[in-house]
Amino acid sequence: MKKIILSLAVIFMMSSFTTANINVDKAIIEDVPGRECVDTAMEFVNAAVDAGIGDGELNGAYYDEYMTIYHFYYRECMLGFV
Amino acid sequence: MKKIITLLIICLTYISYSQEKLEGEVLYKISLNKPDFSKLEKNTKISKKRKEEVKKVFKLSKDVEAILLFNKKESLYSVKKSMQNESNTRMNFTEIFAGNTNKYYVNSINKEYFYQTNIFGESMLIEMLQKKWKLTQETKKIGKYTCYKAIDLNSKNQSIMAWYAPEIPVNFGPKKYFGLPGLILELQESTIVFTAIKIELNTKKIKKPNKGKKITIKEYNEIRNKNSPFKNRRRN
Repeated sequence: MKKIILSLAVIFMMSSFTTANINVDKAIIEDVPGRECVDTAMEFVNAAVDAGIGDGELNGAYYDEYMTIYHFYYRECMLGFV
Repeated sequence: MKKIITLLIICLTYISYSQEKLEGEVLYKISLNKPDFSKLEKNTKISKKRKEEVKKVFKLSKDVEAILLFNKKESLYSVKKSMQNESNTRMNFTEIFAGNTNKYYVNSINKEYFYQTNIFGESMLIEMLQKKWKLTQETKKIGKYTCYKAIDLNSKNQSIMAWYAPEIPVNFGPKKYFGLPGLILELQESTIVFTAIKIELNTKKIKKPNKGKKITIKEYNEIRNKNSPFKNRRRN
């Protein structure tokens, strides 16, 4: 009887430990720091394209330039300047 | 007979002298094209705040200068450092499209074309592809040089135009533009215009960029596809 109770306790601990891990992982995925800034930077790039910056193909010939604008704006947003 | 030989010697000396002088530097002024905000104003998916910020960056994006060093076989293009320092704290569309902190190297003898950049947090030497040009007979004067118009067939809507001077017979130009039968003195992109404002023919030492791993355009595209923040995004 003791052995059964001990086994059950071990199984219960293992399962709760696994569940806790999953919850932590979920929490990390859901709370990416600067998620808002990612969207804001993307919106800024889109606005720049509409104003005639580059050729409008974000993954095209001006990819490096769009990335520079995106990173610059993202950094400004994270620092609280926008 | 003596006269002919003398004439030939003079001609040969002149030709070799001219070829030796085929090195120097070009100073380009780079300006932003006049923006058209009508499309931006109509886009209801973009917030008013972001629209105003883009307009502000346009207003603050000043002209920049860049230098192209060249000799008979190679060239190196980069934006002038002093200009970069002035605008370090603010976004400057002109500077970003002029080449930012990148260094563009072309060796027409070894057919080696690449640029040094810093992307995804590391330095890389990325291969550049030679453009396909359509040569035209249209001409215009830039300084004392007669320049011919060429169209970049790879550009979207064939909107990129170069003006090159066959009088300076090297096939170099600013940024990723090269491969024409003369030095490019003006280049019109959709966002910016490069204009040569000073040409000096003298001896310049060219230091080949060497920071980072050398990768092909195919490898670069694979890295881009894996890491790009734009890959799952659609334009508004």
